[in-house]
Amino acid sequence: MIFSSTRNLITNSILPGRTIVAGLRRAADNDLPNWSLWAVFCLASLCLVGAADAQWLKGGFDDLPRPLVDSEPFDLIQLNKRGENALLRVKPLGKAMPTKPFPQRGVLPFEYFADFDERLEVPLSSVETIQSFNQLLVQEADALVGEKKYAKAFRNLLYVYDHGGSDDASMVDTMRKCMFYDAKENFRAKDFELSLSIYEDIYSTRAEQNDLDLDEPLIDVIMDCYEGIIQNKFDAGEYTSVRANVIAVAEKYPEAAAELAERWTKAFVKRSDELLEQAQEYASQGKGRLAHQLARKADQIVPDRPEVLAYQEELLNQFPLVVVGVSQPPGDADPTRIEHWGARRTGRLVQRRILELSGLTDEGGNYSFLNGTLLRTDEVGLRYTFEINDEPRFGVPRLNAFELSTRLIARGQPGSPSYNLGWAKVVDRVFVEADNKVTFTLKTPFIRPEALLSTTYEDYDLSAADAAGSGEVESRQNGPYVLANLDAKVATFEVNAAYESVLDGNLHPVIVEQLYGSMSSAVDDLMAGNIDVVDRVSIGDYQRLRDDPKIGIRPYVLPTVHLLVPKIRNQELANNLYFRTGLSHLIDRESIVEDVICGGVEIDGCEPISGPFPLGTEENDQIGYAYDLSAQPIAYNEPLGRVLTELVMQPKPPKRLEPIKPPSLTIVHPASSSAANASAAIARGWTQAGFNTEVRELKPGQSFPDDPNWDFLYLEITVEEPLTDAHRLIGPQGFAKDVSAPIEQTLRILNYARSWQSSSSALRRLHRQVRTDLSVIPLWQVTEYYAFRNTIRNVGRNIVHLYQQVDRWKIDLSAKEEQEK
Amino acid sequence: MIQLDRIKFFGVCRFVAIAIAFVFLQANVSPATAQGKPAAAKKKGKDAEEKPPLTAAEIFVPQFQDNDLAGAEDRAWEYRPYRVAVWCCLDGSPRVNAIYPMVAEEVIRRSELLDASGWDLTVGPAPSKFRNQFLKHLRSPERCEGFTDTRVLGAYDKIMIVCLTDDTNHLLARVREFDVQTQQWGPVANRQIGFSQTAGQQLMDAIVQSFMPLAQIDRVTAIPLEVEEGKPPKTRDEVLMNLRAVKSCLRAVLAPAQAKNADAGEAEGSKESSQTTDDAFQLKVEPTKSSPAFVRSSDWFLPVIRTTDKYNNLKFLEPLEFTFLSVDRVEEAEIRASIRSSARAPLNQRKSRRAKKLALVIRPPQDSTTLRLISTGKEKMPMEGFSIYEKRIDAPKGEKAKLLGQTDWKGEFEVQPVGEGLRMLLIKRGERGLRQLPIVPGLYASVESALPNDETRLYSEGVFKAFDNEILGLMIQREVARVRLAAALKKDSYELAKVEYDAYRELEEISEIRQRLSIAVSDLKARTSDTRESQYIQNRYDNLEKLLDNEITKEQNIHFNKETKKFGKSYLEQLQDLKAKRPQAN
Repeated sequence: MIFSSTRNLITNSILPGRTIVAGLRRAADNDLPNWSLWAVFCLASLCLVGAADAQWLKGGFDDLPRPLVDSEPFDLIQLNKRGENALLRVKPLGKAMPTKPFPQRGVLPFEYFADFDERLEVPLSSVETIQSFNQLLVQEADALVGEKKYAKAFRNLLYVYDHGGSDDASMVDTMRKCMFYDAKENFRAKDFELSLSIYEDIYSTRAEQNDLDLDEPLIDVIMDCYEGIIQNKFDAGEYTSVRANVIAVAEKYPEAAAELAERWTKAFVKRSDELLEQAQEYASQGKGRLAHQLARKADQIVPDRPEVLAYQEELLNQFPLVVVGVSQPPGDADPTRIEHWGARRTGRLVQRRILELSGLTDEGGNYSFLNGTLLRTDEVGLRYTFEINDEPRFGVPRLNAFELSTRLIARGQPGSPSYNLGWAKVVDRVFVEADNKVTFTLKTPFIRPEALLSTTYEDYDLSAADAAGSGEVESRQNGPYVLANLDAKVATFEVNAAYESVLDGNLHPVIVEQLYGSMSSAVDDLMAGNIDVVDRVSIGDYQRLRDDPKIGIRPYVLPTVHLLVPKIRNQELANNLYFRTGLSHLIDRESIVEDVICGGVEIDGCEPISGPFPLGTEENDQIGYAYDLSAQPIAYNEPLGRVLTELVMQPKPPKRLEPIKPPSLTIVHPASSSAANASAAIARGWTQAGFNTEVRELKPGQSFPDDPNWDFLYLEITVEEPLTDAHRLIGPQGFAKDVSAPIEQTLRILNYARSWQSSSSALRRLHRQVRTDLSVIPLWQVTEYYAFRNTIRNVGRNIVHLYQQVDRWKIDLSAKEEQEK
Repeated sequence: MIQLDRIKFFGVCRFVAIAIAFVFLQANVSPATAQGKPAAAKKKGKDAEEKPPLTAAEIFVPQFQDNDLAGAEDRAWEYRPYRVAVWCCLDGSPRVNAIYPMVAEEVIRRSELLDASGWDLTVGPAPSKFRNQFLKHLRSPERCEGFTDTRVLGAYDKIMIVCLTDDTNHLLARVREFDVQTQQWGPVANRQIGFSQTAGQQLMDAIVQSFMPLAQIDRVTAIPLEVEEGKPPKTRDEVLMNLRAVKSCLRAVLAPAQAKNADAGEAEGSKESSQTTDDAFQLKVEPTKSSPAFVRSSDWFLPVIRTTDKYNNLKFLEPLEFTFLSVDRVEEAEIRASIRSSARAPLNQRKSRRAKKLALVIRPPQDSTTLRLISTGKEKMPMEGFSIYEKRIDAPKGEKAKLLGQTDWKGEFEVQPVGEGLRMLLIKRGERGLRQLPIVPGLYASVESALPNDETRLYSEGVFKAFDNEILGLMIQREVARVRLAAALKKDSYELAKVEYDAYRELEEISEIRQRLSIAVSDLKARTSDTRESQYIQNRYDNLEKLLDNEITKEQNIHFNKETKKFGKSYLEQLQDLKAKRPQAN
């Protein structure tokens, strides 16, 4: 019977798998270690997955995946009665496809669609029909046209057209009809943009449009579409875009669009006048921000009108204002939070620290003592002296020797909110040497004590006060600005009244931070002139910002490092290194960086990394002293990842008799579009490998979940000084608390680093250990950019924080005029 | 019983006692000698020549002279009562001074009510030299210089230091025992005394709580344990001890003569008798179970080895570190106990007539103890980041130890008290268990344990873990590549097979990884001169080498035909055959 022969074929297809198992069992006899044995069994089982799933469609055509165009191409072989009418889904036959009528002798070689590369044969006499993938798609398209689903039908036909069907005239004709009817449907549904693209396509490819079922000439229909688009955008206030549309249509269709362009130009001027009038009214009511917004709109709709520019300048003198588009809300405004972009940004604006990182040198960070200088006063590095300059400066809190010594002592006292373990370990004595001098001595030389002294001017627990909602944060603000108003989308910062007596003559603008869900929207607004600065630019927008002469785009000196912190809920897998390694191999870092993070743009400093520290960039590699270049990023290797994860889930008698079910995983990430996209890409990879993975966004401003229902935390951190920040990331005081003893050992060594050579060596060792241990899973580093309109001057270069030079910011509208010239 | 009229003679007695003591001192003879130990006297006299004579400020003078248990020191161990001196350190405040005589009397009275024969308490003001020192440093008594001088301690077995201070709102009593034989300090018992009338009672409570009975370890025997199949027989050590003074803790009670009454009842049938005759009761001797000299089944013992010279002078004391005995069974004075120790056989050393093994009952307060880990060797570095686990004392086999925490940067870990008293701690660093430390929290304020600083061994753990992971990954990749290559060769497709073969060849060779491993091991060995660390590194290396050898053997077996005992064609040869078969090749 042919049935039995078919069954034999299926059985034969499994044979290679059997051979593998047998072979591996022989290997087991050779006394291989347990894990190796498990690995090969897992491998065998993976190889057999396809074979076990025989491609005999018992449910007939109903078993086919829909829509067909989304699946991998395949052919269908229908056997006759001798083959018990079996319907087989096979890999495309290609040249092996026999022509009808089929010869009565000979065999048809084929491979099952999802089989393990095993060639099979069936007698041609048993074959009833063979349908190619293209034929199946055309059949499906016909059915879709019948249901008036033109867009879907068009997808099928386009596939066929691209895969050998371009010679079929009737099919091409059907394709065009589908396009036309789809455009009509869209026009009716007022989706003018979609219908316009189809009509314009038909208009450009066919000279004769008489056979089209239209009430008016096609060009008039196209103008109607433009009218609809412009009107919609005008109503929505998208003036920059609507103006671009009018200019574009007038250039493209000079004759047909002349009337439309004239009419809309008049409408723009009228609206500009209205907006200006409204802006003046708001200004008279003291609503500076609203007045600015409307004046900007007036400028957008008809740019460079002298009356608008003059009014804008007047408005800036009356209400100096800079609007910053941000990706994360201010949080607790702590400039030292390595994992919270928003808190770091605004922290520098409202909170000052006694010592602050101002840049990088060849030997770690460059730290500034805001109230004077810090000098090493011996040769061995055990004695340091602060010299206080008590001249008041804008944005710098006052400090005397007694207060400074108290702060240094509190930094080393357990229980103090500013306690730092690293400082407590090395500090020996603190004493006031003179009324402007404070000296501290160390128990053991430490290479960079400044890095341990980024402490507040007063002893208080900022995060606790914020959590309690006591409003203490506001009262403790000692930076150049204070938070004046905060709502869900907008935070307003005004100049700190404490520094009124030392205002340096600069017109310090009010800073308004506007929160955006997507950084591309912020970039759109920046280019449109609605905002002045964007704190963090999506790499995908890099090129268009670079091409805009009115915009400046610059990199921050520090890249962000992206990591996953594991905390797997399944107890049997929680501390399993092989499981973590397996999942790491299932992340395609290269592709995610290239496509998701960078949007296809190649940017220096955006690349996969193998450790928890930044690699730096070609132009700026000082921060890379902690990175071990010999450790390669974990490569994407699906088979290895799957075998490793399968390996740990196997039964382990007598302790575990049943295999562990593949756990569902949850990745939580901070509310930022880049983190969301990257997490989704990782989740897709894991889901494909059999671990159903969901992605959850944290509340805005949150960087750590307050519930235990997660398995991986996506972190975007900014490592300022690896020597001290290592502890804030890994170890008992870090995000990844559960680390191996060798890593803890290296962290201890870092606490007593005496030279750059030894600290760098210890950090690189830590890098290698983390790559093995995967207490945090390294992903990639991203060079971060900020962008600003040229009207904002002195934003700074090679800055660590956006507001690092905020005391020098200046709004200069003359730059705009110069640009225009 | 103390007679009240004794107090009337207080001044006289005190004078006499000072006079006697002074005479002894002038003769450079210790009080022990005076009690008739001529052999030791010569030797002691010789030693004493080197010491300055005691001053009156160093001599303890009892408040009351009594001689209740005279000659008791000659009794057998089980019958020998404790001689306890209660040194009262008064802060000199009027309130304390006022109540002191009453308190002293009350303590004596209550001690005899509690047990008149098992101990003999003597109360008196502490020698003035030590009074202030104890008031200040009762928690760190090692600062009280000269206290352990045998001449100062006298013939007493226990010195009970009682510090009485006026704390404005109330009196504060702090009591701590010093066992003379084992030279061990007990924990501090605190009492707040609100009413002067209850001071004596509360002080007695504190004394009873602080009292640490003493036992003498007789022998250690091996008890066979249940044998597990296929495993060698195991034994555990059982300690037999004799508790001091227990057999002299007796009291006479008047009990109904039950047996006689019962017989009489039977003889007289149902005839009722409402009158009590002289025969109805009789005096009986019973053990005084309330005596502090008795032990409870929940008590823990601290073993101490006391070595003396041939003149019975104390040569040295050796409290066994991190060793405690738990009571299994008590039969009168005989106690059977199990050993909980960080050492393997702490009490199994050679017997010596001059080495006396003693065990002191410890009843610590519910307080924590700071465990401090330091490194062995000269540097004594604090050992940070050591994991502290706890294993239940009678945990079934296979039960996992519970992680309590880690030592901080000062090498310290606070051990909290538990109901059972003793906590069995396990110290781990990385994968390696380093020590088992039984600790009774509250017994000492802090304890210290020295551990080897095996930094290289710990570092090597990470290195080997990296290699282990790498080798596993490589083997899986090689296996995957081989399966794919075999499938491609089977399909007779040269192009496909070539791709798979190239992918297979791109993987790291076993020889390469072996070379890297070998270099890493040499580097690790160069870091240490410790043989145990070197051995650990070598063992881990050998294990990985074995894995790599297996991989090579396995690869060879793929091409080896067992039937013909010959090697078949290698992948490369098979690939070349395919290439030759291609139509283009012709």
